[in-house]
Amino acid sequence: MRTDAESSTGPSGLTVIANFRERFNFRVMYVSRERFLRLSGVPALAVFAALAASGCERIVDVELPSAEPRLVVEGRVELNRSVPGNSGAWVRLTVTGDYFDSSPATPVTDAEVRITDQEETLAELSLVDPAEGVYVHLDGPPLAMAPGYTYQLEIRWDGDTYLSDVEMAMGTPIDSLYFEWEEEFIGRPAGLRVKVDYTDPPGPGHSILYELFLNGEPVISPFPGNEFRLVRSDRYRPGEEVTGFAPDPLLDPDVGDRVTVRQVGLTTTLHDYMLAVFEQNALGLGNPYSIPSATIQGNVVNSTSVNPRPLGYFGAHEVFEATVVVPDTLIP
Amino acid sequence: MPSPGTAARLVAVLFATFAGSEAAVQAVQESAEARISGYVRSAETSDVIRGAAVSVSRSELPDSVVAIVSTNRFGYYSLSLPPGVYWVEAVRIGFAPSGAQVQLDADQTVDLVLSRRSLAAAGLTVRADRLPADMNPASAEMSTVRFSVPDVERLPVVLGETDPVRTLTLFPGVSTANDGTSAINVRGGRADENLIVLDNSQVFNPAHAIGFFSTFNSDAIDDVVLHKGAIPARFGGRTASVLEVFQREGNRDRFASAASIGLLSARASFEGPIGSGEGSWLVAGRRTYGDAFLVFSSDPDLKKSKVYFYDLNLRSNLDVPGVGTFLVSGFVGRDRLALPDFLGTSWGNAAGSVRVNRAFGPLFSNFTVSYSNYDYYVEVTSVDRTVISRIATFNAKLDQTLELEEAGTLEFGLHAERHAIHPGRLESTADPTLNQFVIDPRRAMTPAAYAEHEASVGPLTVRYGLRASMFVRTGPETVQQYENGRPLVYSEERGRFEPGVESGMAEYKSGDVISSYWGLEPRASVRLGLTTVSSLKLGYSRLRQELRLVSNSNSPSPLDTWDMVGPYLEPAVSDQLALGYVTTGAGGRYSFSAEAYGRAATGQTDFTPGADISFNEQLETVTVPSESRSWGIELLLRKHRGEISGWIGYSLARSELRTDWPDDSGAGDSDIGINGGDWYPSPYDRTHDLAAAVIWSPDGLWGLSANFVFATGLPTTFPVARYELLGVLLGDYGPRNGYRLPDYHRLDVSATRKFGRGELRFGVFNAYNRFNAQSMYFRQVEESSSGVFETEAAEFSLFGIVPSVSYRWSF
Repeated sequence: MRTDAESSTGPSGLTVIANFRERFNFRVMYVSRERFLRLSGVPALAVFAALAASGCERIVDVELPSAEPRLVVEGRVELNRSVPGNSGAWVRLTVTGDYFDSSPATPVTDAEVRITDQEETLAELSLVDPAEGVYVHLDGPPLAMAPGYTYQLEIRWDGDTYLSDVEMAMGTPIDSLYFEWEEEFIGRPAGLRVKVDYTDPPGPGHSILYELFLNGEPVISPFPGNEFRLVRSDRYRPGEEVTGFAPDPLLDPDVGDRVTVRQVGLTTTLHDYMLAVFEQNALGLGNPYSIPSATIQGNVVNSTSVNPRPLGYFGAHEVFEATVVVPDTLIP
Repeated sequence: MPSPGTAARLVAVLFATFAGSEAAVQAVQESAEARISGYVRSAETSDVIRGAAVSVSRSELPDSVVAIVSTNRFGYYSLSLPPGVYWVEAVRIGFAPSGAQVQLDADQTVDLVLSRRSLAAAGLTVRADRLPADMNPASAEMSTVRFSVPDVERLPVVLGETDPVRTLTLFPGVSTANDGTSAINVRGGRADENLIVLDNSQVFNPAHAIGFFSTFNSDAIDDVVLHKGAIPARFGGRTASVLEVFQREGNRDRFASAASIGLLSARASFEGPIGSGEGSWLVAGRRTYGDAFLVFSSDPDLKKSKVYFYDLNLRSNLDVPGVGTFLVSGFVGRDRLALPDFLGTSWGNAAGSVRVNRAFGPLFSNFTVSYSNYDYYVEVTSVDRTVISRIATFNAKLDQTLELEEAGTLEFGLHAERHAIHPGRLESTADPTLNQFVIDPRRAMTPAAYAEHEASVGPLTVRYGLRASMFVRTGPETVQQYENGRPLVYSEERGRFEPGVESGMAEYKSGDVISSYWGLEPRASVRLGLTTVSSLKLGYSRLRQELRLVSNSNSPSPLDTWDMVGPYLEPAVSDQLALGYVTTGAGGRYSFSAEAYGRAATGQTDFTPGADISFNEQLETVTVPSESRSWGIELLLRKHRGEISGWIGYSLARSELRTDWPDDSGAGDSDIGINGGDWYPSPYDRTHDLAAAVIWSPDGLWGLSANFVFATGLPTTFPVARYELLGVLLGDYGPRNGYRLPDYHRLDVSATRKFGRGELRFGVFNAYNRFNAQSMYFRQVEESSSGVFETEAAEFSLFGIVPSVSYRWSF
């Protein structure tokens, strides 16, 4: 266990804008998305494959009821061990929209956002991107950061106060990041895969969220089954030495491409939350063998009144990352 | 009603049975009368005929009948009469009546053999046959669906696979959550609330190919009986229904065989006598053969793939003089799916039983031992992980039926079961030493005793009984403990369920009692004869259930595991009350029944939204208590014989669930849980459900049949809004099951033509190719690199028009 506290300096506004996309993984490019039906868990794979083969689907027009907009929170405190300059706090605020309304999420630009650490340091976040509703901690004293430290998020908006308390989750260092050529494999084309070696810290309770960037652009492959790659827990094999893990089995970079992999530490609660998020998105809930469709409740609460309940999450994470460039020797 | 004298005799008989002394039993019989008893069998197959009416008369004239009894579920009848000359005759729908003259001066065995009537000839007979007990105004039995597989074999089915479970869904009160499952929902119960008994063994997951087909090979099956309510006291352990499937016994007279081939599977069955009619045997097998063509594939991966299922049924009967009749029954069914270097899975049931039955005068005694096992494994070769799960049950039963003549019939018995559930084991072949993950096996003993008495007084027939059962969960097991004993808590402010705080482990050694439950289950039904052809019936049953399927989807999958009650899970208890009216017309050619029922169950479970239940060793942290209720009206008009036979059934029903979260404030029901703790429709709730099945046999060569089904669309959940998070699009969902899929309707037709010993069968499932939505889902459209999330709604349907052809030979 590392116990050393490390303080991060709030990066300057310029830095933030410059590596904006590398830091905020909310507007993501899709590598590929295959349509499958699936169940939860490993055993499910067999069943959904057979089911998908036998059924057929059609796209339909459905009139959906609409609901009052709710606040959606995506907030993070990040202690980046590999690129200390990327440490800091940011929050993205939007509101829910009609399900079939394809316009970008409506940003919330008139909120007061602050984060307090366990030493009562108050960080006021300022709106840096009105189009996306992103608030960043730019000025003032830095937040004290270390795994196990606690943080409180407070958002005042529209007459309500929203709160969330979290503890910083320990991250997992990357031992090695490299490329390997993979042959074609059941529904997956041949290609170059980015592979990670890492050693799970001793003891149980360590989880990882994977975030990938291709030439600085965030990318994701949220296909069914991949939720167990996007988030990973050491539930079955605590302390395991993992080699050759491909966080994205569909990403196929070219020579000269720069690939960044971030291992974001998660608490068990956040792991479960994010697994549910990726599972719901990957599945398209509602197939006969899927879990019942339900809104995923996060860890942010409306302290003024129970309703409207906010959606989303607030997390504090120790982050490790590494970047590799595809050499010209690997592709056959 | 039993008199004190009867009770004394009863005690004596009970004692005598357990002492195993035949002389003692005989000593307590009345001596003034002589007894006629025996089996009624089919001439073609030698199978016993259950529910046949045996009438005893002074002559062959119909108005001289002195007594009528029915054969019991073993095809056995017994009655005693003053000495004299009698005509004994057995009748049963679908069979020509047959009788014998008997000179009765001492106890006598009279076995009767009935020949199956061809459907064409059936129309010419005008005798007033007796009806099957469920449609019989003279029987107290109610809420039952019965049919013989040979009678429904001609109905159209998916890919030509005759499936008794699919046929059941054409009767009111039985539905499925989609076309791809053979897991039935009976009167609003969940699929795991049905006790499925093949001969004498329970079957845990009667599904092949994820559930498209049931494991019951129609070649090996004779009768199917579904008890939807008023469940006899001899059954226990499930809270909705009991499905009894009886295998054929095999031909006692000659060797016979049959083979058939359809689009999906090939089947063969062999049967014959043992000795000179002392017994019989039957072996039937079925296997899909589609994988045989994989070797011709040019794709090397496909070539090495495995996709098949098979089942093997075995049944044998043997009369051993002085001991009784032995019945041996066995069943093995298995599915396999393997894609080389990627994935392999297999699941299957194995069940077997041995039963000895023997008549000691008025006492029909049965001793049964059975074993049942269900297991599966999933091997993900690509990541070197294998998951193995299993449930096994060993069962011993002593069941007694005592004919008390004018005092009716008494059934009583003792049961004992041993359950072992191995929820899951994770294995890595390359690295077996590294953290093998095993969920502790769960073990339990379940002793039970029951007694049930049926008697008639004038127009009133009463059947009442009581079952007492225990469930004792024992070690060795390590049980996780939680603060305040609460593995799941509700966070009011976050509006979600959260795991309780862990507080150490409790170690139980082998034989230690972890938790134990017991309860009484009263059962009763009353029949009031209105006229000779109509009656009113009233039935009640309370049922308890301690095992449950861990399934978080609308349809169970073969890869669900079983769990049992224990420190954090209480038994489910259901109560059902049903009122029915039955009448027959045109000399028993038609019957009509109407039933209304109400059912409520507590102690059931649901899961927290988004719960990960696969391979979860702490299911209690995601298990939410729930309750259910359902009610409905079921109408069934059946035409039992003639050129055209069949039925039309309709049900108007409602089935609902509710989170049963304890209210800490004590102010009554809490508003916590799914849909704010309100009642909501179950995933299989169908308001209207109409099904018709018609079989037309104009001559001995051709047969035509059709099914039509109409049902209200199943409930589904819609998103009411969307939001973006972590780079993906998500739905903010409205009330669970608050919306409906489009209505469901479908027509299936089939035609059969006989050629000597062969029969050619054509069928078309979903003849007008209706797109029947089985589910609807909402999702983000593939690409969103533009930074804009497109969304769509898709309906999913399993079967379009499916033609089939099969050919069957009999030798």
